Amino acid sequence: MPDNILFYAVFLSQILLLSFYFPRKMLKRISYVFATYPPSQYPRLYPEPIEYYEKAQRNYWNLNVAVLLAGLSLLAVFLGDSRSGEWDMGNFVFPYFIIQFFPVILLEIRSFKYYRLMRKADSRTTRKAELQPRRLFDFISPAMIGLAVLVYFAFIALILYIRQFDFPWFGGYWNIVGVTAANVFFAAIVAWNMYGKKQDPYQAYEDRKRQLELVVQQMVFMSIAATTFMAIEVILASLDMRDLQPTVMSLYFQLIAVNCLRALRIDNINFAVYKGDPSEERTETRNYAANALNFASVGLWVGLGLGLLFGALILVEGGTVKGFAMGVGIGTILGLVVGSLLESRRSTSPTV
Amino acid sequence: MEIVIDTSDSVPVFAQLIDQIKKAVLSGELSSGAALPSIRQLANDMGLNHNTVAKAYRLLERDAVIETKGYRGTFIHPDAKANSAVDLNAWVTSTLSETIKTLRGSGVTDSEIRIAFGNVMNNRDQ
Repeated sequence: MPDNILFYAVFLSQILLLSFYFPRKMLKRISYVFATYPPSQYPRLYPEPIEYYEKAQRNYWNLNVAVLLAGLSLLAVFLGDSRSGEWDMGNFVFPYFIIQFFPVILLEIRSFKYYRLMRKADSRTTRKAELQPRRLFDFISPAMIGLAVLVYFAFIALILYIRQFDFPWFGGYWNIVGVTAANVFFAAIVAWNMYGKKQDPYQAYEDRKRQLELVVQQMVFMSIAATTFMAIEVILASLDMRDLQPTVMSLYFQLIAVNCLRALRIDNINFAVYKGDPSEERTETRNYAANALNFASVGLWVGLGLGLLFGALILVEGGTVKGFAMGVGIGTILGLVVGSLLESRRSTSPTV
Repeated sequence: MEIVIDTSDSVPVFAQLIDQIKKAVLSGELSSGAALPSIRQLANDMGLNHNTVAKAYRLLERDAVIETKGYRGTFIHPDAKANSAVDLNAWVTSTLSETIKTLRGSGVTDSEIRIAFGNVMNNRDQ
């Protein structure tokens, strides 16, 4: 039971941190930008009318509130059901984290579209660039990279050591494959940011440098955290302390969320580059009636509904509360995926 | 050092790139051994085609203004300052003017010169 109390406290922290604290912080930041740098003075910052972004803000908040309520309901089930002590909480923590991260993924998809429109609206014929090569160590110390490499090789050594005990649960070399794939992914993000196309055509050189520094540091931290987390999970399983795994998993997710949601200080950003000439101001209009229906939000609610129905069917057929919770989780994920796919397809359509 | 390209200018983009790098070498903004960004980085930063930047770098390398050191990258050539001072356009114009003057002096008509010039340009093996 003490283990469970620790888990409930950590899980509550995950719910509040990812679905309340961070969304609120992000919305405050966006509202500050809207208020301080209005479209009338900074037309380049708004490739679409401000109402579009305000609506996106509302949708983002609604999604997070829905996920927050789902998380609190899940916690209530844990606390209310006497059999919850027998459940493997890891089965809930991971799917719930994916659901919690979904609004962030939607926000990322929107930011890609935002920058694409910004590039399209850029009518300047002059292009500027610094004639200076970018190298990895311009953005991070060699010691940090060395530490990431050291942690990775220590993990390989740990896997090779544990392999000799023939644990039935042990995935063997697949652990190394998984961690290597994660590290390759982080490296690819760094390379894409350093050498890929400039997303924001107006961004000042110094701002880009600071942004690159942030991304590189985030990815190196993610690499170290992911490898360490996998090592801790394997060690806990080897020491027969699996009860602690969901707690560690939840802490890890909170850690990577804190790392991912670190952002540049607004007061350091050079917003003057977004001022532009009055002649550049956007004249296109947008059909807002078509925006009245947001597929991502609808998808979430339909998914939740279907999930509840699916979960209820499992209960009627003699299933457990765990099965019910899994049903709700799977239904919500599917609803969100289908809804957001429809939303992104619709929002890139020129007819909207 | 900042490089500025105007895509609406009548001068081709690759020529603007060459011109600005040579000017920076002559003014001392870019000194011998200074590292330059990779073709991919510069093209992506400026929103230009990779081939345009590659062409500018190739011509600068031919003129010994820059040098490529394999995977280590591209650098300003040790003799870049002297080589940047060479005005290739002026040299080509003066050489052709001398040749045309000699041909005209020998009684060759302008039409015959144009046809011969075209034939020579079309046949690169000559």
